[in-house]
Amino acid sequence: MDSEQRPLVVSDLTVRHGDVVALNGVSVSVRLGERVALIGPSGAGKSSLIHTAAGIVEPTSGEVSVLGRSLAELDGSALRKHRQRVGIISQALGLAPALRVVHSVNGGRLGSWSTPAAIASLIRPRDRDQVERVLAEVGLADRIGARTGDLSGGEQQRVAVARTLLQRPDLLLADEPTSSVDPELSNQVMALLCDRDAPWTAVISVHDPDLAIRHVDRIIALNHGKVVFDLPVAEVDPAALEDLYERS
Amino acid sequence: MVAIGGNRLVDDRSAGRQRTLALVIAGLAWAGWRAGIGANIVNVRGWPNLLEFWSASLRPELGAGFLRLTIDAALTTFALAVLGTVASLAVGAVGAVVTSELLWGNHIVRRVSQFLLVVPRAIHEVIWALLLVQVFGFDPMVAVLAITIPFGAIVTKVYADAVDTSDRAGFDQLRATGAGRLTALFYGVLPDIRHDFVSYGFYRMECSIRSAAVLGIVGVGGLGFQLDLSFETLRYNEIWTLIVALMILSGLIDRWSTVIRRSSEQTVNRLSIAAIAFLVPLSAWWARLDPTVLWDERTFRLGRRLLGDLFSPVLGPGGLGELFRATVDTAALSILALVISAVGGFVLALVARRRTETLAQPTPVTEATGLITRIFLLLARSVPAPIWAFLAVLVFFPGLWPGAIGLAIYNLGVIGRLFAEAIEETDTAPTDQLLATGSGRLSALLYGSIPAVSPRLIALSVYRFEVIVRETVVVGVVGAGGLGQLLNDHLVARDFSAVTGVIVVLTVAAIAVDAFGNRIRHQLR
Repeated sequence: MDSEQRPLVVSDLTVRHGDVVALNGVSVSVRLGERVALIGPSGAGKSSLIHTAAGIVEPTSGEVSVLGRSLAELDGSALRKHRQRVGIISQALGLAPALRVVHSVNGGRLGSWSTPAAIASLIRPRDRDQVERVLAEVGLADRIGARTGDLSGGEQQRVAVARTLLQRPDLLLADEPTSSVDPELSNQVMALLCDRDAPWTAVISVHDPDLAIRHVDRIIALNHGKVVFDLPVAEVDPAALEDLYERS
Repeated sequence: MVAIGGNRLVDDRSAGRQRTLALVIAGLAWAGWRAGIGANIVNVRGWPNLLEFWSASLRPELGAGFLRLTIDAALTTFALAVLGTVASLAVGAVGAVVTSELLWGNHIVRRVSQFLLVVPRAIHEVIWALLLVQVFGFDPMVAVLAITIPFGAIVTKVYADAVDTSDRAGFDQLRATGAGRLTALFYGVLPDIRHDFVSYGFYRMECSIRSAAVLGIVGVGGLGFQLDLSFETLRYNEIWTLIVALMILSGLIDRWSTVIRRSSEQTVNRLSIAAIAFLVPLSAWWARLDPTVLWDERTFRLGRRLLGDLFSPVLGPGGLGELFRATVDTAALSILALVISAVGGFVLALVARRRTETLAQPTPVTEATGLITRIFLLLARSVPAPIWAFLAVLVFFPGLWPGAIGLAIYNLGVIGRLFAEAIEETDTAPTDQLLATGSGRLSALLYGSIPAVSPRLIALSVYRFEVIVRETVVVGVVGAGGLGQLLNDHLVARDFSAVTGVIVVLTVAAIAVDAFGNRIRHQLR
């Protein structure tokens, strides 16, 4: 079906936070397996688009279809099942500082666990080997027993990435997942999220356009809540990029 | 390697916590064994009475005469609580300045005064009342002083901590420009912590309402006194009318206090202070409080006689063995009451809390169960612990269990509300993140907000343990065993030297529990 081939379709989306217009009539369509970067200066609307797609922010008007379903038409266990297929790395990270890293990473699997299993895992962590594997991928294998809050900002960001790697969602939505890690690690994290072999479609907001160009298939540039251009990486004009960040 | 060193640090800290946890579990097992576990503790024959009590809740006594009596009694309880709170806050504010580290440095005067404050804190309001009745008779002054003495000492400690842990920059700057320590304290520190003072003051008001109700049982009037009278004649319908009055009073004050604690608006503070200032003379008038009894010649005479009787402390007729057994019983009583109320309070708080997550909006079902649970928690903490203990005697044979259950139900009401509010005030971002990826509500909470708030929940429980140890005396007075019962026995026999002996033991126990509490608080940091 066409909708299954388009994991994220946004049509004429407007989002207002009080008097501020975060998104103004945005339309975006992402194909199955695509790696898409959202770029643009601060306040362009990147986070709002990610959060609306994740169902955290309600659209003021317009349509959002995620994995072929509109979030508004789902509730109860259907909504939960749907959400298990969507991975989210938000800028706020949403990590509990008091929790050990092993549990924070296991948070990615909570959707598929029963409540008793989730409680039992707090006492004796479940699937420890899998947690170790994803932590190794983000370079944190030795921090599995640490308190999440004791980690540096960059390490916490990588814990959030590891959590999503463990979740293995069908659609991955990431809001500046590399904002507090150094350039070399940023590259590694982007490589993990945009890995060809990974089963997901990825939409990632990135502050640094050069980083985006190295890893994704397509770039959607936003400014003042509107789409400025939406092009395959090969067709992106360096002058247009410069213009995007200059004019803000 | 760095990693190994890091892990060892983590292991050391968690080893300390595991030791504490093992200690708590061992304590619980021992307390259960001490109280007795098995079918032989349950009194099946009392159950029809209990059923009768609960069914009476559907038809409370609503006759005009009894309603007027209830309103009168409620106003008396409220008036005594207002007077007790204001007096203890005044004592505490002065005491905090006088004993603060900022004023003294680490001077010997400060350390000695801090140590001396342990004694009034360790002794429960009811014991103070029982002693003060010997001097003042059944005068409202007994209730006001019985609240002011321990609460004044508690407020002193809390306020002094607030002063000493506040930002010192303003103080240091004023000192550098030549201001005296006291002046620097007034202009550099107090303005910053004024809101903390006011909001804690209203929390104290919540405690005072419940204390004033318990003190009624000792005989100084108000709702507790009426409750006791109706209980003795087993008029359950009247009891429910009085309980509802207590719930309304307690609920209103709790709400007021929460609004102040969560509001940053100066007007809310100012209006509340103005309201209290207006209520103080009105309360004194309503309760017929006569301050002249304080310097009455008769007061001095009886006071001197009581002090003479109290000193020097001796052992009661049962000797050291009896005192030791009572101490052990008090410990078992406290542990059982704490564990039941903390575990039950946690579970009920999860249901009672107002939903704050963005992604788990309240449904009609969660709203309804939340409301019912909040009403139950209010009921649990509005009814004094001795009344719950009386009811527990209908279900269990006399012994430690009725006392432990009575204390547990009352404290469950207090802890459940504090836990629910603590959870409501925690950042919901981690919970929302997990909900957004399909986690169930309870799982998301357990991996999101709960880890963040758990040190605070443990700290609240530890503080509650200190309170419960003091409160065991209250259920002891109704025959639940422990030091409270021993104390009551000595009081009935007018053996005041033996009373002092028990008070000394209670004080030592309170100091020990304080030290244990400080150890746990330290581990939580």
